[in-house]
Formats: sequence, C-alpha cells, structure tokens
Amino acid sequence: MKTKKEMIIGFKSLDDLGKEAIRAIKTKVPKIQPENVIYFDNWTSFRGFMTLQKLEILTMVSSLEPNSIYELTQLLERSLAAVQKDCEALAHAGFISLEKKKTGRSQVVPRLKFNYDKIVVQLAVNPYILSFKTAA
Amino acid sequence: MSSAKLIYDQRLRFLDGRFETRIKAYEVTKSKKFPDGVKLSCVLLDLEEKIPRLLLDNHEPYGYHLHTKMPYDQKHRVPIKVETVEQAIEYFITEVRKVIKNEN
Repeated sequence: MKTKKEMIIGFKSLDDLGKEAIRAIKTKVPKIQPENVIYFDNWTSFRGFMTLQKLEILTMVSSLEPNSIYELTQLLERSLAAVQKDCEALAHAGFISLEKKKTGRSQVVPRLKFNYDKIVVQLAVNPYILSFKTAA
Repeated sequence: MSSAKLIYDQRLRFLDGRFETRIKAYEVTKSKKFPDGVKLSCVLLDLEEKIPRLLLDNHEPYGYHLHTKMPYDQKHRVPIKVETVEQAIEYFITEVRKVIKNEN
C-alpha cells in the first residue's frame, strides 16, 4: 500500500527567495523544492488563491477520481469554463496534474499530483491542518 | 565533458497566486560562456495571462540580461549593469517588485 504524503504550504518573501538562491550558489549546497511543497509569499495570498471552489475540486478529485474535467464539472454543478480555469490554476501550482487521455475524444483527466490527503499550511506558530479527505 | 549541476530551484507564488517567480541556478564549468560558473534563470510568470513577464538569464555574448517582451519578442534583450550572480538576482527581485507594484 502506498503511503500518503502531505502537501505542505510554506511561506517566504521575495527577498527570502533571492537570499536563499544567493546562499545556495555561494555555498554550493543544493536547495531544490520538493514536489510536496508549494510556497506563497504570505497567508493572504494563499487564502486568495485557495478558494472554496478549488478546495471542492481537490476533494472531488481525491475521493471520486473523475475521468475528465467535464465529469468533474457535472459533479460540482459548475460551468466548464470556470472549472477548467480553476483546474489549470491548481495544476500550475502543483496541486493536481492534468493528464491528456487519447481514447476517442481527447479528455483531460484531473488527478492529484501525488498521493496526498492533507494540505498542511505551515504558519509561523503552529501548523494549521486542512483535511479534504471525504471517505474513510 | 562539462556537466551542469542544479543547485537551486524554487518557485514562489504571490498576489493570490496570479504571479509566480521561479529561480533556477546550475553550477557549470567556468567558461567564456559562463564566466562565474553559474547558469542562472529567473522568471516571472503571469498565470492569469499565461505569459512570462520577465526573464533574466546569462550567457555569452550577452552576459546577464533581461527579456521584457516575452513571449512575443523572445530576442528582445535588455542588457543590465551587473557583474555578479548576486547582483543579478537582486536586480531581478527589484524588477519583479516594479511589475507587482504596477499590478496593484
């Protein structure tokens, strides 16, 4: 059985990014972002990005594994254009992948980027855990 | 044979996830092409418009330079007055701030 990992949301500023890059280059100690970490510059930015609709998409993709964006649209009862836009944003951020399936009509299949069931938001004081797992 | 070793690769999203900055640096053999032994690529992506807004990289004969008319004119390069990779990264961060400021 595959172990589930957590998707971690971290925060750092633009300045931090620059300083980190300079440090890595100077020290020659590699710093490569793992696939289960996504950085935002602050909490407000993350909150603006991760709308309830996007969280719903993650829940559906995680629990029901729809075979296409169209199927996902029907599950969510939202417009195709809106769901497509949200899926693209989630895919670009690294939450999901959009796999092109060529069976008859070309379909785009939304899948979690990797096998995770929690998004852990690493705030400065205590981690704030959002779980979107619907089935036990 | 020269080989490039990835030493830095990080992405940061801001303005509600509309923009993404990615900095990638490879350690490479010092050469005429890369005099300081670093191949640098700094990009600012506008994810709403789905276009790269800024790209800073370094290679001969241009040295450190900035692409400001991506993706329409990839050959448009603005030479920048920096001598080191540190200065180039700081310059890029400053330019990113200017773009964000205009979007706010």
